[in-house]
Amino acid sequence: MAFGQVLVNWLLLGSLYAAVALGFSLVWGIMNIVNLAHGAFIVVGAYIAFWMYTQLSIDPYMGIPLTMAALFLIGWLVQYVVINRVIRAPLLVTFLLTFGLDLLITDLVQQIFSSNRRSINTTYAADGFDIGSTHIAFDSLIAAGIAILLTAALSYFLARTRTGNAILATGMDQDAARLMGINISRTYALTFGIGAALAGAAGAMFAELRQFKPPDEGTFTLHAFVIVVLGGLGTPWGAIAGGLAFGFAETIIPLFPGVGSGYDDAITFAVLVAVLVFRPNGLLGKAFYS
Amino acid sequence: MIILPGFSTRPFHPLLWLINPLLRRIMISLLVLIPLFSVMSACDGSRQTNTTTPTLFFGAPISLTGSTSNEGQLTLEGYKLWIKEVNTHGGIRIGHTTYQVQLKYYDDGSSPTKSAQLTQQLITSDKVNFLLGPYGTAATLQDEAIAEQYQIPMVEGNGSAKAIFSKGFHYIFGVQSAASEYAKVMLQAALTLTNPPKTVGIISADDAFSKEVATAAKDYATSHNLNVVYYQQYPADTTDLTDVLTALKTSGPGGNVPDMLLGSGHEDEAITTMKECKQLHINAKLYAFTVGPAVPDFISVLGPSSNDILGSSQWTPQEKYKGRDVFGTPVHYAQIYQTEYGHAPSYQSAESTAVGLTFEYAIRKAGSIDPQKVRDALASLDIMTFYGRIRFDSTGANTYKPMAAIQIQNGRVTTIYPSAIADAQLMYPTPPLS
Amino acid sequence: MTTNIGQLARVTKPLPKQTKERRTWLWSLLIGLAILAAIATVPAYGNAALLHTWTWIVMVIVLAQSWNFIGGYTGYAAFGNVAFFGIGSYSVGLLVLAGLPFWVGLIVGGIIAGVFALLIGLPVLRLKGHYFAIATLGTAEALREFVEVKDIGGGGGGLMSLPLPGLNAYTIVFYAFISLSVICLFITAVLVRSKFGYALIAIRENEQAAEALGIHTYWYKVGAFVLSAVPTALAGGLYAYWATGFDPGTVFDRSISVEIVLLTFLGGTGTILGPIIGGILFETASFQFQTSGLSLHNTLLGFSIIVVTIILPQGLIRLLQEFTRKSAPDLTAVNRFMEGLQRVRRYITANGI
Repeated sequence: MAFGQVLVNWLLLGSLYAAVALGFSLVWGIMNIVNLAHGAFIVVGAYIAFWMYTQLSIDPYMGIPLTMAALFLIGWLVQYVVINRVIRAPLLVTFLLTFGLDLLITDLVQQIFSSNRRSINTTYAADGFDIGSTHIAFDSLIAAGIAILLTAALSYFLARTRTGNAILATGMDQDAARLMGINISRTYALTFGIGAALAGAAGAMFAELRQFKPPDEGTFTLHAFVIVVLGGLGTPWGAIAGGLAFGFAETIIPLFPGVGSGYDDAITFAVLVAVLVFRPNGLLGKAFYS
Repeated sequence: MIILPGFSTRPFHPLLWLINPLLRRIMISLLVLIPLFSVMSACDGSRQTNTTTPTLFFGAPISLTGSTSNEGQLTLEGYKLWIKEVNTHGGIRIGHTTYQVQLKYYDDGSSPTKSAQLTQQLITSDKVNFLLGPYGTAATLQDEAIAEQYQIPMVEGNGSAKAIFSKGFHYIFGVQSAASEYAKVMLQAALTLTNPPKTVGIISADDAFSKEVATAAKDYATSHNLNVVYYQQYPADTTDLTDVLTALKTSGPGGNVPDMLLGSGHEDEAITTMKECKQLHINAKLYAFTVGPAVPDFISVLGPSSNDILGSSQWTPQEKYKGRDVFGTPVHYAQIYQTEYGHAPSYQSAESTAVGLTFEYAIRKAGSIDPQKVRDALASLDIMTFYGRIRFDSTGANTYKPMAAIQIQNGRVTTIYPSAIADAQLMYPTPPLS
Repeated sequence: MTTNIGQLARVTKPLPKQTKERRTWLWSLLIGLAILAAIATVPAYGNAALLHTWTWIVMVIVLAQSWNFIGGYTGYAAFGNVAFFGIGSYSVGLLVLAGLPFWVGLIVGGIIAGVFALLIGLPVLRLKGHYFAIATLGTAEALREFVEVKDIGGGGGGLMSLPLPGLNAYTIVFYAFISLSVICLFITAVLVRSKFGYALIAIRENEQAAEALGIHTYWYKVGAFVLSAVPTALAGGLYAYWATGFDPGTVFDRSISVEIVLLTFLGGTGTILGPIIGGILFETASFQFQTSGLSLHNTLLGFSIIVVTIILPQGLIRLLQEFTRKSAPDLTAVNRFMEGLQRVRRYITANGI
């Protein structure tokens, strides 16, 4: 059994999954909104990266800042117009609102882009280097690197900058933050925009590493949900922990004798329930986002 | 004047609808939702009035949105092309009456339960004469039960699982080859080589159709001296196959990659497999996928990695059939399709058009539009079309049309097996991916 | 304060004298029965397509009513109830194929679903809110995968094919669903007025306070979960008979779970009529969109969901309740109407629009 390859797969895949969940974790942790349209944002990011590559010849990884900027605008708009109205509403309301949003965005994307599968094929795709019999592809490595970079950047931004602190404060106690002079709706819009931007980055990476089409958004959202629950809210590094845990369930557990690859979902959710029973806040979860 | 509580003693204002926030919101919502609903109702197709010329209505629930929306669109294009060609060439003539044909379709959102509901709607509300099949095995299973209950013949071209034909139904007919043929034809092609592959790794999605294909592949391989060194199923909706492929990488003799990799699944998984094989440095001598290579966006998505990949297809534009229908040959069909839709036809479109043709010839043969007579005509039909031979066995399956093995060479699809209809030779072995 | 505790204790028993104010449950029950009776007349005048549509709608109403027990009254939004549906379907399927009569399959399905709910509920009901939601969703997904991989239906990938019933079976199944819905309606009405129901509502409102009052919240939650499982499984069994063929993807479809939550929410969670009204409105709107022939129907559906979620976050029934709530007795009819509108406005804006 090629343990080296398996280990490398796990680490790279886990980091990629973390990128998917990062934005979702931020929005949930700060705004207490489970954004079911997160997968739709990822798909939109993938299409933007695809469009930039095919029309403007911009490399998907280099173009990530542009993709993120575009998604940030979309996220800001969506928050201001729609999500803002249900900020204080109970769980179910935001769930269903974002569900409707998800339907809307996915259908619009399908109308505009058709439901054909797309993927970005760069010239350097799958080029990599070998350590023994283990092959590490450059694009996977870059994607994992970007994911970790984004997590670190987000962590730094939240902890060390004024705006970031404002976001954290709003997440801890909305009223106290308002009393301190923080503009709540702008802060929320900013948070949601950042969440969408992070989703866009994940989408761009997925467009190059795999393929995508509009109906994939459901899977992305579900994966993000599971990863965030596994890793725990309260810190961006929870997404990394959750991504690695999820990757572990998907790539390593099936290798145990007698398990096989057929039970991916069952294993994932068994792991999920087990984690929740022993650590109800997730692996790295904390009461407040910080 | 009415005094509204909570608004001091200001009298009722004529423009209250704009001023009062609550009423304004209610107004806006109504202004948005009412036109929406009236547009919905106005577009409701089931209230179509009778046309003055005699018309035959063909009903079909098709997945235009949802997970199989891509294939559903191709199916719809196939149906529409047939409708257009029939009407242009004078419709279907029975005795002294010439019937125009019309398609009545709904989007079932890739949901089999909705498909059943819509089939019911088509039969009893829209009163279609005959049914064209949906896309996919799951939906076909639901819909054929309803067709059977109402004794309306249904011809389908996009559901191949054996379960569809083993229920003992009499009103279901499928023009495409059976699921078990999908992998067999590729293995047959590979075994015609002078130095054929000796080992094969088979990976399969775990839905009914893929499993049927994979089991048939395994049986055929083992009985023809092809060693199945790896056989693994994966969840049908998985987006990642690294664990399966990592295990396959070392499953060949001496811990190497097996000579051949056979994937039984759907297009998404074929693409994922190829992308991940490249990332994991898995260089087999031959890659074969039962579903994927024949679909147009496979090549555009994978680019140069798609070269030399083997696929199986119900139909290719290069096959050398000479049908008695208006399309005649596959090449001609491809031309007409390209002119109409601006892209090359896939086999889903071709088999959908073939479904229409089947009805056309059966109705002519029956000399009537009575469902029973048409059903009997279908059961005894035997025609050669641009799609191949259409003839059904006692269960309604078309066991008389072979599948074709295709290979992507230099960015285009070529047919390599059976030799009678092939237009290129199988290229082997495949150069390394990176 | 002894008086307060005494008053609190009396809350857990129904009031001895029913004032007119408190008989909303009776009104809801009667209206619900009237609606179901009206639906039951469909076979008399409708064609088979209409019957099919309404059978589906009543089935969804049953699912929503069952969900209401755990989601509406207990406040634990479960997103995996389709697991019980699938259990019911496969129980009927397997037992019918084994030669046993249909009703045996139904009962067995109900029992298995109840036991499954008990076993799953024990770990999962310790979680709250979003975590509970994802855990239940995960359970349904895991079960679906299990059935698929183990090929439980036997048809490859868990496919199940049952013998076709005659054409009149459609009407029988329709009435079976209606009966099931009536039973659920009665259970809901009885629940609202019983100690069990009050305990569930207490758990929903403030679980810690309920614990402090001495209610064994854990077992009540498990009870509600099991209660929501059984009618769902029965509906699944009836579905198996009705559809005669299905695969795991169809009867363990997670979008069914989401849909029943959505439409109960639209109607009003934790109300007797909410599931019924929400089910009828949502399904007819959805079907209308789909058969409209417009290619943007999903967009419109999504848009409608957004609009309704913003304007009616508590559901339609509660809005009506606000409107019809008893106001000061000396107002004229018109003023009472305006007062009602005013209350509705305050109610909607209180949700933060």
